Amino acid sequence: MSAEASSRTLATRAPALRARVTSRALAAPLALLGALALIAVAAPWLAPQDPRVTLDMVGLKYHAPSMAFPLGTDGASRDVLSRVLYGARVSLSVATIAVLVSLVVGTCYGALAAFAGGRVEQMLMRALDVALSLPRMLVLLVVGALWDLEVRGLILLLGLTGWYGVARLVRGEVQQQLAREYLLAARATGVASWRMLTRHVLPHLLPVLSVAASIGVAQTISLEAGLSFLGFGVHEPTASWGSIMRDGSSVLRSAWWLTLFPGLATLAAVVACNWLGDALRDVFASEQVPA
Amino acid sequence: MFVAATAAFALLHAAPGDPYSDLDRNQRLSAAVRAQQRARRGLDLPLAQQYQRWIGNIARGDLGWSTSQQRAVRDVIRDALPRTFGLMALALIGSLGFGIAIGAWQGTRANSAGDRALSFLSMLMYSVPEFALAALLMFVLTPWLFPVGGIMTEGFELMSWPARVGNIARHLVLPWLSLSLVGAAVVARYQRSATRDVFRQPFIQTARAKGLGERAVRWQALRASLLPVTALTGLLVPSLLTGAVFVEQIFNWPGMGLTLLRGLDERDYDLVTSVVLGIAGLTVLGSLVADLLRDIADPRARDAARTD
Amino acid sequence: MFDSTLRPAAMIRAASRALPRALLSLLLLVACGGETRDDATASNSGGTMIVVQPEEPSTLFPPMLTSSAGLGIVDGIFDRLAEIGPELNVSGDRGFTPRLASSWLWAPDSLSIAFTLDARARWHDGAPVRAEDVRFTFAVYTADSVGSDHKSVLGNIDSVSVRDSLTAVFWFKRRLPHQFFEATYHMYMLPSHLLSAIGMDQLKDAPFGRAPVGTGRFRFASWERGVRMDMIADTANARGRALLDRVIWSFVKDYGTATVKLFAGEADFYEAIRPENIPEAERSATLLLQPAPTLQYGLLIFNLGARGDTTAPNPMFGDVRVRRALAMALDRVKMAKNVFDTLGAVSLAAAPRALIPDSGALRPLPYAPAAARALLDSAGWILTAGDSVRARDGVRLTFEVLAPQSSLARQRYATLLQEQLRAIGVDVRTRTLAGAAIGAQVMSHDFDAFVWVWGMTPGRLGMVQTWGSRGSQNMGEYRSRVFDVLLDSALLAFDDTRSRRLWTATLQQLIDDQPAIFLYEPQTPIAVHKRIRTAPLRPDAWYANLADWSIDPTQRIDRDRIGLGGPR
Repeated sequence: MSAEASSRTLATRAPALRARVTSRALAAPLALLGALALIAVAAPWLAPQDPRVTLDMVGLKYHAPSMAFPLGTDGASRDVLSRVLYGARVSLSVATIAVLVSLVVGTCYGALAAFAGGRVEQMLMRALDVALSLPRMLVLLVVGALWDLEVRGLILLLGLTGWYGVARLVRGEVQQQLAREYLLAARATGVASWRMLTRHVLPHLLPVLSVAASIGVAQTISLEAGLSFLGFGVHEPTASWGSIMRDGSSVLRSAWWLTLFPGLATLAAVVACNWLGDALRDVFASEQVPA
Repeated sequence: MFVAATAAFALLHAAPGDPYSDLDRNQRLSAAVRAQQRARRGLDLPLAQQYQRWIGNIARGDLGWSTSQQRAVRDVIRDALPRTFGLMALALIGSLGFGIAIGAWQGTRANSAGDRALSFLSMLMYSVPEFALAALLMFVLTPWLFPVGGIMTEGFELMSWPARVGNIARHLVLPWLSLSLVGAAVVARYQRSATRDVFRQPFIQTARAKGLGERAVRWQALRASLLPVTALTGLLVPSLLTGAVFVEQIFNWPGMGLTLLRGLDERDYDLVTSVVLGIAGLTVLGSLVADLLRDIADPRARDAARTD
Repeated sequence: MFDSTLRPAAMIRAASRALPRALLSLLLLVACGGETRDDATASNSGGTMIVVQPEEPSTLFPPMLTSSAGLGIVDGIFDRLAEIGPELNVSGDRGFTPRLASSWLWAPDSLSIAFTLDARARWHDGAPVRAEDVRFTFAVYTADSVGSDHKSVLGNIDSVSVRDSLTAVFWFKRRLPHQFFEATYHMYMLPSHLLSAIGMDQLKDAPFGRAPVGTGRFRFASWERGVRMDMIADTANARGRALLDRVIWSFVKDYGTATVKLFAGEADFYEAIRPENIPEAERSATLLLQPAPTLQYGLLIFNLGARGDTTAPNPMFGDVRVRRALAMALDRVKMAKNVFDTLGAVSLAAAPRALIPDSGALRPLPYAPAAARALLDSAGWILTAGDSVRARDGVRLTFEVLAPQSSLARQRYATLLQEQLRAIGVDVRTRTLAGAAIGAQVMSHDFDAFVWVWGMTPGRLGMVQTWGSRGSQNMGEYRSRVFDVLLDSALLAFDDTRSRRLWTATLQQLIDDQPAIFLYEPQTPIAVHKRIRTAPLRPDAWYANLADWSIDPTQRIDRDRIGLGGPR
């Protein structure tokens, strides 16, 4: 809800009067995100162990954090640090790709609706209303509980349930652009619609979409973690932050490190994305002031 | 809602397994007896026919039979719904109460150190997944301060009335807090910007020019900023519902979320479709309320929606 | 590792010491009548015990009770005709003690047994217990329209007839060593005066399952769905009231929450404490751990048929050498240590130790990875250079292991065996699924292997279904004439030494054929509050003597003073 709602305030809010917003506002969240992405990419070099390997079934079970295992080991005597590092790959890439999917689908759908207009548009938007009447988590839960989703399925599921808000945004934004005089003129002179779309409309979508994307990634990381925590997302032996926390949930008190570290990682990633989204919004809002 | 229920029906029936296929639950049941049980529930009929029958029953207000609890779905929902509804209503009040207070405070002191600290905090709260927050609260505050879960203590029915209320209240605190903190963070963010927007509006300047005291001005501003924020209520409902699933799971709160999870696990067809129907209904209700509040708050939006 | 074999034995010894005392008090009770017993035990009775239970039963209608959830509740509220002894002997009626039947008489040809009911026995609604109830109960348990899980083990009972109002006669198809066990163990007596008016196919959905009426020393009090169920002492019971005033079964699905509740003193009893919490339980000032063996064993069942096609053999598991090699590649001792710590043991064969007459005579497969590799080589599954997975004729040795979401132990086993088999060049993919989804796959034979737990009854009759060629629960499609004959003769053997020898041969046959890898025997301890004095725990059912549990009068806490009364 927040992606859509917050972008709505962006559209309707009076222009913010921040004295100066430079790209410095973006630096901190970008740095944080960059660091996390780097960890994910470099996991094979950073991780001290293979995240799937059981080191010593008997001796190294639920080993508390120590010099040898900075984040401890889990019940199957696997190194938690390595699992968290590799988990970053899964958690971040699932969220990123899923958001890409929903951006593409949502943009196409929204643009199509705006361009088509008339009855088609009405029907498309009505369908969207129906889809929106279901909380996303409910759909995820039902599908996730009923089928064994591989990582690929999880990405598709998250992506295909995340585009409704984007479609609405894009439609509104495209409508606004289309109503502009130069485009009305272009239309009148018969410039091909797709050229109009790519040359004039899409660039204007960039601000809205980038805000929606970063907030979307934040949400999706959270959702994936939640699904995996309930056991409906990423499965053994693959680790995601959510699935590690699931392993820890029954030993919360005796093996707290299984919950704490992936939890912190998740929080950091989500905060970074939300922060970036806010910062982007502020930047674009200040740019819009003169307009 | 109809579409939602149909989708749930289709998904459930398409998924592998059915209410009688869990071997763990009926270890020694032979395939023949399983088939017979399916036939008794009409699960051997063609899907179209099952669907027809089910829709007909729903239309007549018959929600069906819960195979996982061996009683009518109506009874299951009657037990679970008030528990979730109560929790959500309190969480909604908590979210709005905390959120508006914090956001308004921030809005009037924009960019002060306190504002920044609170912004950071609400960003954290806004970002943290409900289940992680719930787990944290549970780790820190139980069992020495609050009970670890459930809705009431054993022996509850033997307590006096005031003790009962106190007992439920103690069980409510942590689930309520988990949901309210996340909701409050969302509300606070809106309230902060709404307050700031109001302060930029001419009527505040007018009020100041008229020589109204700062307290009175702030009061005016708060009132003006409240309505757009209350319109959030409807949008908070689905996110609170989502959170409720996790919170119920972690705090063993026997509401709709826990019922849904158990129903899904046991492929309880009638129960799951009914719960989906119920949750979709709540969401639609929420968005209707949101529209209504928005219209009251801002007649221009209503007009815009009309010309839409 | 194998020390743990000592535990059940020690338990049984302890129980047999206690037994004469129990019998004595029973005799006294019979002699003096119910009322005096009440006075005699007044100081001893009272108190509330809170049991945390992970799963809520869906019904309390005994014939439909299938999972472990609810067994303890039903056992408190309902009675069998006679109770098996602590040694779990199933041959003849040795060790059995009277319960709802006060005595029984074998026909000279042993083809019928006449049970005489306790004349003082009353249903909780006050109605007397009649032989008609026994006849009705048998009809319910065996009716197809009821669909009881237990029907498959009642096959040797031809019928039950009513001789007079207090005598019910069981008629058997053939004379078997375990026919007395068969007649008494599987059925809890049901009140015909409350149920006979309801159609058989309606019984399982009837309100009775939500508010049962039995003859047990506990009676049903209330059931708050999703929260808890209460049962209280039946003060009018002819065999004496239960010593505890009330037992509250609190349903807490999440294990972590359940243990915190237990450690915080909000609950008194937990059945399945996990190894990671044992140290905490041992440190606890209020809890006592007691070993509680179960009659379960965990295993990895192979599909010996091709996936989805029962007529063709499985390309991998159709070969006994592959099955044996996979078993020998697993360090099952270490695996059991990982999952259960000191509380589990490696499973010796297709039965828990308590049901293996002569466990020393069995020769289980050793842990021998080198031999396993050689065996796979000889079976044609070879590692080619540059590949980490063995292959034969271009087919890679790779398969899928299913484990249910509901069981952490089985999931862990799947993870561990995946790792260990990788070391010998076998590629295992684990999938964690909902129980219903696994069932659907397994029953359509569309699987490679799955981690499973079989719960057995003392009679071992279930083995016909689980391993016999025509068994209805033979999910791995194991077909062996040799085994079938051995099992049949073992079940039929009256002579003790012969029976032992035949059981050893039967179980050894399964070890040799390895239709499944026998992984573990869970021996999770129960954790119980120190103020509670438990009665001997029977290996098949810790709750068997729950009515004799009591609370130390000097250590009572607030909830023990609630009493039997209703709301104050």
